[in-house]
Amino acid sequence: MTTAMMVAYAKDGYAIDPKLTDALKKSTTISTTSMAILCPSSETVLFCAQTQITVHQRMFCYAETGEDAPDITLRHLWLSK
Amino acid sequence: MSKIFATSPPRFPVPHAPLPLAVWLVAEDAIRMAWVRLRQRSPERFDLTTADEDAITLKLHEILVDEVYGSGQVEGFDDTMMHIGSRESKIRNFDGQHPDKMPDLHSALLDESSSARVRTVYSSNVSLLTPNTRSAFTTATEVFFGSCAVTMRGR
Repeated sequence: MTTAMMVAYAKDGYAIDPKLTDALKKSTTISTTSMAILCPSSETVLFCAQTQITVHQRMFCYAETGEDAPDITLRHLWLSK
Repeated sequence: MSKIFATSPPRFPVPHAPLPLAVWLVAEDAIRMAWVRLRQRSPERFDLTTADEDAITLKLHEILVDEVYGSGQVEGFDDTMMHIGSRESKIRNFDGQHPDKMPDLHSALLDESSSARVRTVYSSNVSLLTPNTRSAFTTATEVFFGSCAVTMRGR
């Protein structure tokens, strides 16, 4: 798996921009190789922010091959409560 | 059913090939539609402002399954392409050391050659959805979704 989706339930006042990037910058455990960019194929609709994309390094090897896992791309979908 | 388990599990190349963008967009559109429906419910039926993460995910999953999947409202979000799995089904991690990882939602992609077989297993017994049984699906690809409550995690 090289892509996954994170769905967030965001309360009033929490918007993906800039909260997502702020959180990733502060994190000491998540290695981010590409900060959030807007998915050009997505759009903001009622109660749902435009999807943003980040890329993260992974520090494990596949048991099947012994090869390093590549970066994972996360698609962030934030839903307003 | 026995035929599925009588065959040797195929070996998958890792990492799996990236999924087409269209798959993600279909899944996102379905979740957005389910979310709008959840938001439009009266607070007496379901109060989003007080519900915790698990309760929200449960409702979201129910709406996805009962009202959005196969309804024709989101093209591709039906049994021609995708199957919605159970909520928090157990998945092993990359090396098998942690067998009880539980993504909040997951879905399996289907195609014409595999959909009938996958549907049979899924509808027969959800508890059969272990990594070993999934590995028997030569053309199914798993899509995992994680959910997090921003209000609870302070992100």
